[in-house]
Amino acid sequence: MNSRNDTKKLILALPKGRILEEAIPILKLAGIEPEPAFFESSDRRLRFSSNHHNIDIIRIRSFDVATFLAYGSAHIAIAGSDVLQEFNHPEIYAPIDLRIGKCRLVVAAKEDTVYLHDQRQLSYIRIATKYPEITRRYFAEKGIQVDCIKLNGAMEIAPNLGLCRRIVDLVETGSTLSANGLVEIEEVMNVSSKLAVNRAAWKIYPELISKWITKIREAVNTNSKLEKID
Amino acid sequence: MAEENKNFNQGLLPAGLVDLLEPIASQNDQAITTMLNCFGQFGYQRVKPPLVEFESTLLAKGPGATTAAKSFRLMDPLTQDMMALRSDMTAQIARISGTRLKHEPRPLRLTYEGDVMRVIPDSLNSERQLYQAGAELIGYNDATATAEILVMGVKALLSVGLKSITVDLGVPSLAEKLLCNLSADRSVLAKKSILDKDIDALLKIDDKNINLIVKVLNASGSDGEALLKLLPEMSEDARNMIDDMLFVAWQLRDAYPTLPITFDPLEMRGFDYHTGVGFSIFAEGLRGEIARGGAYLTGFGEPATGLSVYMERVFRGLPEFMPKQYIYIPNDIPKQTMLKYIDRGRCVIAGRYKSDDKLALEEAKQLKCTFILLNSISPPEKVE
Repeated sequence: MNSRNDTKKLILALPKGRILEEAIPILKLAGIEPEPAFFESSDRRLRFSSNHHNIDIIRIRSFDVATFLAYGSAHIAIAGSDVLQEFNHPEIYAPIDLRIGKCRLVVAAKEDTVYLHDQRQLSYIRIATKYPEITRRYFAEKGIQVDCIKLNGAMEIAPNLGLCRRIVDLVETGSTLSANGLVEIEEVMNVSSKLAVNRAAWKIYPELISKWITKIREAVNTNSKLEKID
Repeated sequence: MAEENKNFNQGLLPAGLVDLLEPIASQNDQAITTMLNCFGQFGYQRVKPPLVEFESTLLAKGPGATTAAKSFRLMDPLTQDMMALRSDMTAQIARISGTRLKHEPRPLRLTYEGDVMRVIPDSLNSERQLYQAGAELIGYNDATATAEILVMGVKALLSVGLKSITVDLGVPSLAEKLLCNLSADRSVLAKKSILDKDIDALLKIDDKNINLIVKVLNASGSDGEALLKLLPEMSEDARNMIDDMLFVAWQLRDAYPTLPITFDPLEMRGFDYHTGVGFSIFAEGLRGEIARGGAYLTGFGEPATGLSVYMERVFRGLPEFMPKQYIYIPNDIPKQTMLKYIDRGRCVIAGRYKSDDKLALEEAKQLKCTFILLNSISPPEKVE
C-alpha cells in the first residue's frame, strides 16, 4: 500500500484570478511551488509541474475546480466556499478553511425598489445570479420560489436594465454595488477559500493526502500569523 | 409540433439512457454472471423481484424510504393505485424476506441483480438506468455478518478483474452517538464540519464533547491502533461500535492480508439507513465507491446486512475484453459440420457465399472472422 501512496501523481487544481494570488504564499509555506512558467501569462499550457515530482498543478476557472475535483480528475484543490456550496457535491471534502479570498454572497436590489417590494411577502421572485443552486436553496427555506437567470458576470447591470429586480452576487467592499445604484438587502453566506479533497482519492491514498493536509493546515496558521504582523 | 417531429432524430434517447453494443454489452454480462456466480458459491440464493411495485410497499420505511425522491412513479390503470419503478433493489429483497420467505430459517442469504431507474442521475454518472447487483444476509446485522458479506464482496470484485481495491470501514451512526449531548444548533454545525472533515471548524465549537470527535477524526486513516487507543475515552455504546469495526477489519485482513483498509468511523456520506458497521469499496482509477454495504434494519424490523455493487462504475474498470474469434462457414458446408463447431464451444458466422467463391474470403474479412472453413474435412484456416 505504501508504494501506492508513494508513486501516485497528485493533481492540484487552482482557480484563476482573485484567489490564486492569496493562495500561492500558503502553498509556498506548505512547500509546494509551481514551476516558473505557471506565472507567465504568455504560457498557454494548462497543466504545470511543481517542485515535487508527484504533484502537478492545473489552473482553471474557479467554477470548474469543483467539477474537476468531484470527478476525481483533480485530487486536491483550492476553491471558494461559494463554489463548493453551489455544487454541494457528496464526493468533495472541504477540510481546511484557508482564511483567504474572504467576501460575502448577498442579495442586492436597486435602491429605489427595495422599499416598494418587501421581499418577505413575496412568493415568487426572479433573480440574476451566477449561483442558481445556492439562491434556490436560500429562498426555498423562506418559502419563496425563485426563477434564476444564470449570468456569468456583470450581474450588477441586470436590475438597471429591467432583467430582474434582484441579484445574488459576491461583494467584497460593496463599491461595485453602489456604483451601479444597488444596495444589499440580505446576506446569503460568508465566503472564504477552502482546501478541498476528492473523496475517493482520500480513501485510496490516505497517507499521501493526509500528509499534504497537515502541511497545508500548518501553513495556513503560519500565514494568518504573518498577516496579523503585517 | 409537426415541424418539430420532422427534425426529431430516431436515434435520440431520453437523457441518461443508452443502447449498449458489442463488446461492452457482452463484457458487462460476463461481469454480472461472474459476480452472481461468486455470491452463489457463498450460499446466496438467487431472487428476481419485479421492476415495478406499489409505491406504498416499495418506498415504505426502511431502506425503501430513502429512495422515494429518486423513483419514477406510474399509475396502475387497473386499480388506480400508484406504482413506483425500483431505483434500488435492497427494499425489494427485504420485502421478499419479510413476506414470502418469512418462514425460512435465518440467516437467509439472498442475491439479486437487475436494472434500476433513477429520476435524477447520481452526482458522478449521467445514466438514469443503472445496473445493480448485490447480496443480503437477513436475520443478523452483527460484525460477523458484515465481515462475511464484505469478504464475499471483495472476492467478487476481484474475480471480475478489478485491481487495486481499497476498503473503507466506518460506523455511520457513531457521529450521531457522539453528538447527542450537544445542543441542537451546535450539533448541526458539528455534523457539517464532520462531513467536511474540517477539524478547525470543530475546534471552534465550544463544547467538551467535541474533543473526542476531533480525536476520532485525527485517528482516522489506515492505522487501526490509533482508534484502539481512544476506546477508554468512549461510552460503552461507542466503544462497541468501534470494536465491531475493528473486528470486521481483522476478519478482512485474515482473508486478504495485503488489501489496503482505511478506517473512517465518522463517515456518514452515502449511508442513509445503516445501523452498525458500514463499508465502502473503492478502486484506483474509478470514480466514487464501487460498492457499499453494512448493517441495517429491514422495513419489517428484521436485522440484516447488505452489499450493493454499483455495476455502472465497476464496468468502467473491467480489464480489456478478449473479442470472440469467429469461424466463417461458407453456405455449401453441411449444417452438421457447423453444429459440430458450436458443440465444441466455437463461434461461427454463417456465410452468404460458397467455399469456392472468391467473395467468401472477402466476406470473412469484412465480418472480422479469424478463421474460414474451406471444406468439411480439414480444419479451419486462418484468415490473413
